[in-house]
Amino acid sequence: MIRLELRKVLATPAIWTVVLGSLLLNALIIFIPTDPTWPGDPPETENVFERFDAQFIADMYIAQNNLSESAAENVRTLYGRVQPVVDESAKHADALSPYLGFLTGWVHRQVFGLIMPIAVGEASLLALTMSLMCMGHEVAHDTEKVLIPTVTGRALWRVKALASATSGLALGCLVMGTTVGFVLVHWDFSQAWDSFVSSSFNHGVGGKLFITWDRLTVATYLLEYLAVGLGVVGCFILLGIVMATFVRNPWAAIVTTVVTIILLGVGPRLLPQASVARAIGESSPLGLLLSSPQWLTDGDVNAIWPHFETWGVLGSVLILVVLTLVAGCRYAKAEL
Amino acid sequence: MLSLHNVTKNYGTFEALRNVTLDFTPGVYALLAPNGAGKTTLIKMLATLIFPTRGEILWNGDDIVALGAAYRDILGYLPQDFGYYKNHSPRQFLLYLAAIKAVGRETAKRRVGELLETVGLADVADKKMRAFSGGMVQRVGIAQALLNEPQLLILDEPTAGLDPKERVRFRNLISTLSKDRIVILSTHIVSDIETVANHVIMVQDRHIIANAAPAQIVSLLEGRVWETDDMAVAGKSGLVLTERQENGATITRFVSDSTAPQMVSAPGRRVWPVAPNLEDVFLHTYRDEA
Repeated sequence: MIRLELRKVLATPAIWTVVLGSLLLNALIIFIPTDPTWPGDPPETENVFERFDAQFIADMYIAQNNLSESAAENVRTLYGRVQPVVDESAKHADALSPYLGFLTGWVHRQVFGLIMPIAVGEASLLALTMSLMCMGHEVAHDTEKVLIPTVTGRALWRVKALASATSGLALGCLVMGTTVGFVLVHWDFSQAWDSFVSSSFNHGVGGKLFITWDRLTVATYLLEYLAVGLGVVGCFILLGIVMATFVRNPWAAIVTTVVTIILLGVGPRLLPQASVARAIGESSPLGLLLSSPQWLTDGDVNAIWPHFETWGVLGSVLILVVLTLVAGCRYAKAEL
Repeated sequence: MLSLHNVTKNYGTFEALRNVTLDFTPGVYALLAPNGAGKTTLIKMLATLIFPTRGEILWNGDDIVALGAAYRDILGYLPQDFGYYKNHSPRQFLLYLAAIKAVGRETAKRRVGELLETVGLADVADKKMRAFSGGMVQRVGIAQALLNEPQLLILDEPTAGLDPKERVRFRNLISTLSKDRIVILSTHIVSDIETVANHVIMVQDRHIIANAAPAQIVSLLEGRVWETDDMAVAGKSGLVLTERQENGATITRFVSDSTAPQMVSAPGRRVWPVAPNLEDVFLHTYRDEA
């Protein structure tokens, strides 16, 4: 049954047009020669974590954003928890070998600050589109009245939800996986897999270090990043299922989804920075997508919890799973 | 046997059907009602697309909602506006529906081939339905309703879009099928009912007002239907049903409780009795409906 539903949506040329368009865009970003050039020898690695006081970052955020006392306390508390992580990295002198010379830091910022966030965004958009298409397919074709009075009946909703999840995750993996493939073809990471990612980003704006909560190598950072990315894709799949079930007209469902996403993006920005409400608001699927360059790190001023991306994904998935179950129950009793 | 016991359906404060009680045994039942009388509501409840607000619908004594898949397994349904996938061929579409209806793969292949022959679409079985006429699409709809060899077949406006030849073929098919199953037809085309239905169920203002054999229904107007070539007589004497041209004169058919001699108003003007038909009953019963 899932195979039949998959065949219906995957046979849509528009989906493959978006997939190919996404991959073409990513390939252009990766392969068009924009790498900056510096003369001279590769830089030496250095232990930038040695004697580093994490409260420096907290003070910088507080000063730059003119935070309220409670918000400032949230930031100070977070960087109090960052300090042991910095000390641990200092003890092990975690560093990334400058295998690409002066380009090492630039390449990592390009890959994890631009290319992969774009790929995750594309995968999320595709997953959302697949869900909306898959769940709204019968209403769009006026075939629900033929399909529901059959043995499968309203269980077709479950089949479609599973098909949405399968196709969304598969296309997400395809886009993200192929993009990683492009990256690996263009830049030689063979000497870097076991290096620790942290210090390659030491040239960050404002002297802010690139601090990951766990001691991650390039390989583990990439894998964890992709795992979080799939989690966000999963959120968008569930969002599509919920929207297409509650808003039965397919076009209205698309409009409602777009409005919801815009509200999820704009709403939290109206809240005070570094507040608990803002942190929760930015844990929405769109908030997570926008913060993807900071995943697995201490994040920006509004990430007031360690592993904000993991908690964000778990929280969003939990809420969306509950909404999906409610949507399923509603559909079981819906008057069609 | 299919039974409805005091079934009422409300949409918010609007009552679409009130206290409907009906029993169906094998045979062809025609639902006759103008638009908005509650006919589609009744059919949608039988197809489990909507649920009764009060009362119960039983299949062999068990509630159809509780029976779930077991009930839908014996059900064949053609909705009024039959939706389909335009980029599928009839064969692809029917095979997909056979899978949804849990018909085994080999059985489905055989059955789809047979049904395409039955509805006269074998020669276009593998053509995309995008270019199909309304009648061809309707025939695909009839075929899909028969895929699982249903014991209960519900057809909402099945002959809409069919040409006369296709309509005759459809009537013959229904006659054959009705020997050992319940067929419920909803149609505005009275000639379909007259030729194939064993029972006529008339719905008016949310109620069942008649449930009898066509002959019994028609007998309600026995001795009350007349024709005249004097339109004034018809207009004065009763309810005008239809008009037709014959030998340069306009023949008016009307219903009147008066007897013929009383209605003759002037020398040379003629009034004569005619046998009533189902269309007369329909027009007479629903004369006040929009």
